[in-house]
Amino acid sequence: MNCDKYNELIHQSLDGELNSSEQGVLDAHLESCEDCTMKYEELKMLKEVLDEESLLELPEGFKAELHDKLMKEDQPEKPSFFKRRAVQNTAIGLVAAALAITVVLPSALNGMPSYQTEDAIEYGESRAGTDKNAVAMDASPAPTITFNESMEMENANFTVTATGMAVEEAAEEPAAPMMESVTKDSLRDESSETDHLNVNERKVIKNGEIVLDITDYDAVFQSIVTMTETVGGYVHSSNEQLQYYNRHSEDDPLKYGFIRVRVPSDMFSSFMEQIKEHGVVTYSGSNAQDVSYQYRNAVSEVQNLEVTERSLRDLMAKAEDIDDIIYIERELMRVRSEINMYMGSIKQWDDLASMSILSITLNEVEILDGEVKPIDDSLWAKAKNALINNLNGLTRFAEGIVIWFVATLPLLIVLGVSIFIIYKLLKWIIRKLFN
Amino acid sequence: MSDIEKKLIKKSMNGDVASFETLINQYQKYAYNIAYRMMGNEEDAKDAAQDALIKVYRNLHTFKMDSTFSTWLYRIVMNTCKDALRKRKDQVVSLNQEIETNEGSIERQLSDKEADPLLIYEKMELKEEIGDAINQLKAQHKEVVVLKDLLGYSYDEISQIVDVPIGTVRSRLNRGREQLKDILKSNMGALRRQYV
Repeated sequence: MNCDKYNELIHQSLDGELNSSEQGVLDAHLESCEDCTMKYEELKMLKEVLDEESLLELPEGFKAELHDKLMKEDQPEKPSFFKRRAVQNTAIGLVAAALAITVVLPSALNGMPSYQTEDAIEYGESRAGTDKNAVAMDASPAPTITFNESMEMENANFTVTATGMAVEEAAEEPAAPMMESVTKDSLRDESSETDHLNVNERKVIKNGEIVLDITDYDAVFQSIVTMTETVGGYVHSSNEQLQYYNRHSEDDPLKYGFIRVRVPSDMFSSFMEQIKEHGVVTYSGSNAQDVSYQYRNAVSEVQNLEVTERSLRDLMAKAEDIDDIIYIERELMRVRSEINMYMGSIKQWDDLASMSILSITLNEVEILDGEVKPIDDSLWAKAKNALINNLNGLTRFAEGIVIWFVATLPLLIVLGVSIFIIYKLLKWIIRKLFN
Repeated sequence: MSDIEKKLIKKSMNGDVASFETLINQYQKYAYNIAYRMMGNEEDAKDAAQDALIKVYRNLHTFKMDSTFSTWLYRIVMNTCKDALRKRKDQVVSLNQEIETNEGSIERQLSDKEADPLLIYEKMELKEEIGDAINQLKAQHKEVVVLKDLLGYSYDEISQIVDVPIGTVRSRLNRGREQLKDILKSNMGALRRQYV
């Protein structure tokens, strides 16, 4: 019988690639051909054996060795790379220093807070390559957004007093969220603080959460940090703690931790997917809040208030009566603080929308579920497991005895010595008695 | 290829080792497993896998950003293994050599007739011998069997990694599986006869 043409079919059938008519042709042949049936069954068995082969874990020290070897590799074009970085840094440092001086000197000379200087400060470490400016902001109550407190804290760091203290505070901030600059001069020019804002695009605040089971906490943590910085984000906060003892190695307990990062919104989804690759995802979720409506409202409110403010100022110029002046002054202050309140919210929305927040919980485990070898249910395996358990129990018992013995040893020694002494004493007493 | 991967590749090309390690993090385990199945033992696998990854690092500038990074990486791993196999002086037992070089030789046919079908063995017994059996395959058959049946890549991906048309992949795979079956049968048969 010429079975060559059925050979191909057999392999395709094992790969699940035959449609029902082709499978029918094969089955019909198999019914009458013992050799082919044998071959089919054997190949099927073989495929099952191969399928059940599991992946090996990387051997210990693999990554460390590889790291050493990589570090020995020649760095490409090192000099120019360094030069670029160094030059960039010194340039930014000089600019920052120059600006600091221009802010500090005038007010130091005048001895008075100056509301007229532009509070624009650049700092170094601009990973995304954009300018970051600090803003004068009073603490403004934000509308209902999650992470309210943390955002307010960040904003508080940017409170600028024109004495130049802001420069130091701002300069210490490692990587700040992007913020728009505010120039108070512009008020007098009949333009609005909101001119630079784009009200036509949607303002969507994205948040995400992932809970991961991983096997190497430190490596995964470092990888997340590197990835975050690569896309131009930053680590907002993190913490870690130790879990119960890892019974396989007492000096290496498992870790459990949390890291919250902020990444640019356009990278958010691909970033989340990349994070998920690090281990087994036990929980993942994300949500998006569309605040475009509130945003536009706030912007138009600001514009209205500015109109009010301008008319008040005009009134102020014409006013002559002291009572009137005081009243207008009070109104001006009220309007101004309302404007600031809205601007505060607007800036917060801008910040949240441009940089999404991802919260990652890392749970270190010994073995990831997806890689546990298939459970062998045969009688032999069960017996083997039971035997191993008993042996372990015996070993633990023996260990316990040894430990107890060593621990009690001093006591035993003292006991032994005192018994010995008593014994000798008794003998001496008895001798004395009978002499 | 994701944006993040592209950025990591660019940074690695500039000598940023940390970015490179993040980049290859998800592929290292598969690379090691490919090497293990090709080389047959853990020590050689570790060397081959590390050498391959270093080659990847060195040659990043030759990678065209349009294709998939993973298939490019695995191709380098595969080629590194095949080079290492060629250099290695195989101490192959003469019986097996005859099976390899003379496809369908009398030697093998004889052992076919004597060998019991695979089905009489427990899967566990077969699993013990499978590693050795895979090792005895010729390189071009071994690579497709490893990639398809052990690691689960698709015909498409294998065609890209090994750089041959899909039809060739199929025929090599079929040949490889049948050879593997015959090798297993003669190995198991030989083992069994030892205890008789």
